[in-house]
Amino acid sequence: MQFEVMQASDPIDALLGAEERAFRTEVRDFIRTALPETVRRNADLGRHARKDEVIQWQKALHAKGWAAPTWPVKYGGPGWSPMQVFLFNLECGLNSAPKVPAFGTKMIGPVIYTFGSDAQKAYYLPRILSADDWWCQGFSEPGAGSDLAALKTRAVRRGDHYIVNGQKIWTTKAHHANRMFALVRTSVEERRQDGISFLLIDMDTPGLEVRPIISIDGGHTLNEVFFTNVEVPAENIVGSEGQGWRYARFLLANERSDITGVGRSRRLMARIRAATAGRMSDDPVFMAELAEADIGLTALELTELRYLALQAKGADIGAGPSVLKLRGTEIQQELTRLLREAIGAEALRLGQDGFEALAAIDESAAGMSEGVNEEYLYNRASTIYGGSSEIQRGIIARSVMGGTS
Amino acid sequence: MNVMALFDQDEDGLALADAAGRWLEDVYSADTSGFSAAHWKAMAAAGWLGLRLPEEAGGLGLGVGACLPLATEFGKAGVVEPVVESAFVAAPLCAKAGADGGLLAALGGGTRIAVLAPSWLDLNAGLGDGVSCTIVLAPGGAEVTDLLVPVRHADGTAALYLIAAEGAERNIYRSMNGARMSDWKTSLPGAALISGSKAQTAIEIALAERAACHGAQAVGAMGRAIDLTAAYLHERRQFGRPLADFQVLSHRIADMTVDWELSKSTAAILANAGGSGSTALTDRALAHIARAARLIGERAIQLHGGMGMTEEMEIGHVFRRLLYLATALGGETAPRMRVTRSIAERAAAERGGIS
Repeated sequence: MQFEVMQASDPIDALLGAEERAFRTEVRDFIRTALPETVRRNADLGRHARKDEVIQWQKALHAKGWAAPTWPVKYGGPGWSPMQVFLFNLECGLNSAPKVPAFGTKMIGPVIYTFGSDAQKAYYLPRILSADDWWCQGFSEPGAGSDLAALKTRAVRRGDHYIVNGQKIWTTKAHHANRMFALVRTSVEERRQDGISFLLIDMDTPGLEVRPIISIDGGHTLNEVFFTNVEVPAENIVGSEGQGWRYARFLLANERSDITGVGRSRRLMARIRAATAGRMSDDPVFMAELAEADIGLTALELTELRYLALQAKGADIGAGPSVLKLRGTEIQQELTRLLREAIGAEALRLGQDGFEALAAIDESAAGMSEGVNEEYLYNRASTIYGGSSEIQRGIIARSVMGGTS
Repeated sequence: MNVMALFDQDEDGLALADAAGRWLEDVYSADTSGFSAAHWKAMAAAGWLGLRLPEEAGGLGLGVGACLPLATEFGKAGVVEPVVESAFVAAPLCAKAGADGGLLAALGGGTRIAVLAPSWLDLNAGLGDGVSCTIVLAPGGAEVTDLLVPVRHADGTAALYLIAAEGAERNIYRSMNGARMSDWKTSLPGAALISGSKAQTAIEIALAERAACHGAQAVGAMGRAIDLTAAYLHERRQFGRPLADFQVLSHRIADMTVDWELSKSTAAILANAGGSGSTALTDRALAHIARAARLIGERAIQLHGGMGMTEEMEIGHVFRRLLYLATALGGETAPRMRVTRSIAERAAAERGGIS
């Protein structure tokens, strides 16, 4: 078997065939043309993209027909193979493109086109593609985290409306969102999962209040959302009442594309190499730890590709998504740790002003990853959200041992 | 070529492995001597020894890829006879090197057994053919009839020599995988089987194919370690319930499974090492599999508790097999050093820039 060797860059590049390389080049060229240099640079400094930058980027993707890589063509997807989706995600990460919020294209979109009414499809799907709507996810509650079925937020049918009361928490970017998809309890059944429904809620509905949660990185990404007699039109239910758990499981299974974040991790690797030059490259221990992360990342990339190949043949990958999520987030965390380590004592500075002060005395430090600490701190969440590492290990263990563990 | 094809397993190879797996489970048990003449005959009768020989030598002319599913079964079952070493690695090398038809037929029939020395023998300047040499850690024991020695001359040219066991002095001892190994004291024959760039290429391919087989064997042995451990956790009860009910133990087996899954992926790199031409990928794959093999083995022993320390339990044998394979693949640190060096070189070439 012969694989053509690409101009040396990342190890995985050696495996791509001519068509794959051509597609990749097309994606890369588009990103480099369409993505403003400042946005890219900010991402490389470890800053979050601003809301308007994210929207602008998604609109650019939409204009190109690439806003929702995994959607069927009839709903506006580009009709890519899983390999093309992989390469697209890889290039977006490698070129520091803003992460398009998963809540719209990866989460609620597929739920709507699979289970939604014709009216819901016609109204919401184009608005997701065009970034006219920003969705947030109303799943977790103070008493329902990993044990999601314990959720208590109630929705009581009254005439043409559901009256929603309760509280959601850890709602990512709810302060940017104009819509929320939420799991609510519409009845109390013997099996907790049975009384749950899936509602689409406008964020400007009276009685709905968003309160920020400031996280350990000092940033505002997370929120609490309170519902006090929030009236939601009955037509905003997805599918049938009581079936919400099923749709949520579908949604979580669908969220898996780019679960490993390989492109972003490769970019982090490049940033670490850049920060390393002249500083840490003489430190054999640091370099060995960086190599270890690279070995792990390469094994993970190959595993994501192997699963794609298996799925293309119709094989079941079992707990594969949990394997990817578990190891992918561990590697992201390790890389953000190494990036802090790479800048040595300068990692004592917290925030932009500290690094501006540094640049004032050392010009060569301008462009140093000022957000390293925030990035590291914020990334601690990656092994907690989307099913914590412990939940993933439970799923993987069940796949080899059976039973409940 | 499509990258997805990297992970394709050979259909004929899978069918072979399926039949072999049943025989290995129902009939085979590793002989404590490290070699069973009866099993070897059965393997010859099954046609395994001729899989890679050219058709004109009575073989099937299969590539290494078609043999890897079988190698995985060997790793799972703990086959000690040198099928991989003789039939999958040495026999096709002999054929490529133009060895006589008598040798090839004997290899396919199982009446002669050839193995390839573990690594290159570097000859110092001034020494040529006929030089006495010591080859250590050659696979197999008294059953081996022929040793292939890859030689690098002082001027850098390669040659492959075939040495008969008859007349050679051998020290035979047990190896970590339950088989036998030998140190040979002998002298190189007057003429090489093959030399020059053809020898260089053929030897490099054979060494890469051995690594591919070891990778496949490791994947099989890892799976066996995980299966045995899962079964033990169900069977063993403490505090009034099966160990499988303890979350901390189930999370350990989850970590083992993750390493196994990633090893299946990296083994595919070794399986294609002859074609990808990427040392960057090969070094990472070697680094990953060697460590995963050791870690899975260690954790399996730990989860078996005191029973894991006993020779009567299969898991100890699987553990030693995993360690053998990790070491034979080059160990954990050597590929890491190469990866580290290449990253440092890339960082230096980029001069702190980022594109």
